Amino acid sequence: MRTVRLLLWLRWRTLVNALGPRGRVVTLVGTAFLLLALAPVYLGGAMVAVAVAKRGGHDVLVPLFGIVQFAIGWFTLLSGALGRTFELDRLQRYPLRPATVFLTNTLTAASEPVVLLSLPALIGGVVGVGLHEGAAAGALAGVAAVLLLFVTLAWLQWLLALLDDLLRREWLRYVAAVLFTGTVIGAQLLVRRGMSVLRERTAAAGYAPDDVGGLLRDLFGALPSVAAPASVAGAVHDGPLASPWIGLAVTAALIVAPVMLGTRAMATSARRPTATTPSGQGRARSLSLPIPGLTRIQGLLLGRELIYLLRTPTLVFQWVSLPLAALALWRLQASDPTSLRGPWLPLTMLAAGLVGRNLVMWGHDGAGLRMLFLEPLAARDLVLSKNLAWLLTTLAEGAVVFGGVWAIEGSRATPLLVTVVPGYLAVVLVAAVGGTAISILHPIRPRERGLGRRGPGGLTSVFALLGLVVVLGAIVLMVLGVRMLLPDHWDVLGSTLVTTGALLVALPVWWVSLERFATLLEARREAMVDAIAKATEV
Amino acid sequence: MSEFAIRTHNLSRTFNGRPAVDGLTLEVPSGSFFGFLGPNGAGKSTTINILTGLLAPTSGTAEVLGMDVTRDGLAIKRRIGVVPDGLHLFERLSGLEHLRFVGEVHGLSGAEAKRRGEQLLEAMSLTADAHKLVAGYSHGMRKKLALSCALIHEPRLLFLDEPFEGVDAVATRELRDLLLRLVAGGRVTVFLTSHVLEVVERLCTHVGIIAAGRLAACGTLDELRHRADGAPRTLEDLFLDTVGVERGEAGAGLDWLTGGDAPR
Repeated sequence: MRTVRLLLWLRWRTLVNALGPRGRVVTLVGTAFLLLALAPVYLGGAMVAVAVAKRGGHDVLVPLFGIVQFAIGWFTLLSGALGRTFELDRLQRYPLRPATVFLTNTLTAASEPVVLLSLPALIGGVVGVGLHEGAAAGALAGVAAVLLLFVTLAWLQWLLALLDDLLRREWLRYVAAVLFTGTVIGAQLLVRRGMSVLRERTAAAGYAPDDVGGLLRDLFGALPSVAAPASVAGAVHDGPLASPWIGLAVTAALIVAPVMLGTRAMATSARRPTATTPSGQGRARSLSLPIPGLTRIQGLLLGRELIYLLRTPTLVFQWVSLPLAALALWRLQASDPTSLRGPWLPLTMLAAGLVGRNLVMWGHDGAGLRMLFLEPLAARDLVLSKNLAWLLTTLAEGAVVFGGVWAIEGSRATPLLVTVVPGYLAVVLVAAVGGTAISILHPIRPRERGLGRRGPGGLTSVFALLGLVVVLGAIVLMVLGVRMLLPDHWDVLGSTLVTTGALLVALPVWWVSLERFATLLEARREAMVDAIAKATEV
Repeated sequence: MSEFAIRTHNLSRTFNGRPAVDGLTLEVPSGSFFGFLGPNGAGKSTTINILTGLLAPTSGTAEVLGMDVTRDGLAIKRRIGVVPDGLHLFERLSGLEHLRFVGEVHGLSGAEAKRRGEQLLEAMSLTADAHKLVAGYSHGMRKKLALSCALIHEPRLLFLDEPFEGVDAVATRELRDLLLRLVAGGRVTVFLTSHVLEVVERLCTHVGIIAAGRLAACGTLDELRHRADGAPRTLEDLFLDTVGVERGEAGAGLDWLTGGDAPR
């Protein structure tokens, strides 16, 4: 426990020391702002939980625990919202047991926003049970809630450790990408099936809140990871888990198993060498990509960018998983994928992915960044090559998603794609502008290991994402407005004109911004080298 | 070729109001092997960063190969080679790819960059690891690769920040001989920082000592190795006298470590 405490202290100090006095104030203000903005979500959840638990007692715990576990898992898998605090191979020089590091990661995962946002609902449920059945029952419900969090976080940490181990192997990183994508798609299927069952049964029985609660209890009661912690509070009435002692034993097993598996995966991956032999050795031709319109140096920089990005496992992983998951989301979530509602969620998902990556446009160079600045390279060439490499990869992602929809739906999807694709390109260009600016002004060295979908984190990421969602939302609102104003048969043309207009505005803005960012880059080189090339990740 | 490869006048750089380099005036003759010494935090790396265009000076002027560092940054970078402190290489390129990239950035054709890259790797005994990613290189191998990168475009001036740190004795000898050959040819000036005074004594023709951001001593090695009264002294004596270190007993106060009876 002493080592765990030390590691928790280390985490706290590295977090605090990373911010100057001004940074701390900005972080506090930003956090307060976010807390206010998200209050309807977590306070609403808490109030509903108190009200329902006060009326239903501990029976409410199974659906409540199920919703919380599902929310944490779903957000984690969909957005990469959960990370690993410590990577074992960074701590190998110290006499630390892998299990200690794994346990610390599990504990610190409880401080991640996605977990913190679910806490008020859990606390509300515990308070509600206490009000209904007395303090002792409330305390027991509290213990069960803590156990639930532990089970959830331990399993997610095991998944992260497993993925990390797979990502370190040359070919298995693609398997990992498919595994991850499969998990996301599986989660979508589960939600869709659960929702349709819920809809059918509530429609058949007539809507009643208690019926919905009962259905959710049946649904989540079948999940041991939910039912076992809930049974500790006496919330399960059927089957072996009706006994709280069996519930406690199963909960303990559900914590020990991922800790053991995760520790083993972590220890194995920490010993796994990451350096591999690249393919295509010794070609005599130039590294420069002969692209019309680019100078030899610009082509050379673009070639290096692409080689470098393709050898960054986390990015490869993201490129495989993100478009496939977005495509699946498009197909599975929308009742009619060719309607205008179809692409909203997948496009938001793609936009979230754009923000995660554009903020670390320079970060993946790591120590090599200083080498780039030491070479005789014009700042504009550097900015241009970074942007082109980033645009090429995002366009490839878009091609998979839009091409996939077109391949599945055929010509039915053409009117939608004609509208959506220019809008997406406009958003991509805006993300390029914003990302270039932020990645120069707030340089961040991304995590080299772990789940590639996790962005650099922090308030910068949150505000950048909000900014992009605002742009995306503005384009969508304009499209909807035009469709409302025009007769139905003009809808496609009107929408397409709006999105194409947005693209035509975004394109020159992006082009002009390159020059400005080149000047900015010149002024910010030292800070970037300090933050990216010299920074070491614990 | 101008008389001085490097000239600075009243060069200063402050960080948060604290001077790292404070009014440095320095002249490094062309074709010399210049050793730039100083204790940790004296301003050596900051000076190199300014001279190599990574850092803008707060005040003062600096010329490298006759060009102004703030105005002619790109032109200077085309003519110099740098082995920076901490190395900072592209981890996800192979050794040969790295050399080819740097060579092509400096205007060599793809074929020529590959040819020179292979020759440099052979000279550095890295041929067997040419296709391995830099991430898998040992510290010594990285040093050799960084030096190769600094040499591939035939620079006129080499900046070497601690080039022998972490390099084995055989490689040190090879690198040393190579550097001496370069300087002996008369076309290359070497600006070297090192904490190993023996290396500096063996290689350098000129020495500058910086302390607290200011130049404390500068001249040829022979000039500096004699006190004002003509008595000879070692480079270590010169260094310690110049930076003003009082010598105390090593390990004083560490009884618990050196076998004393301090309580645990």
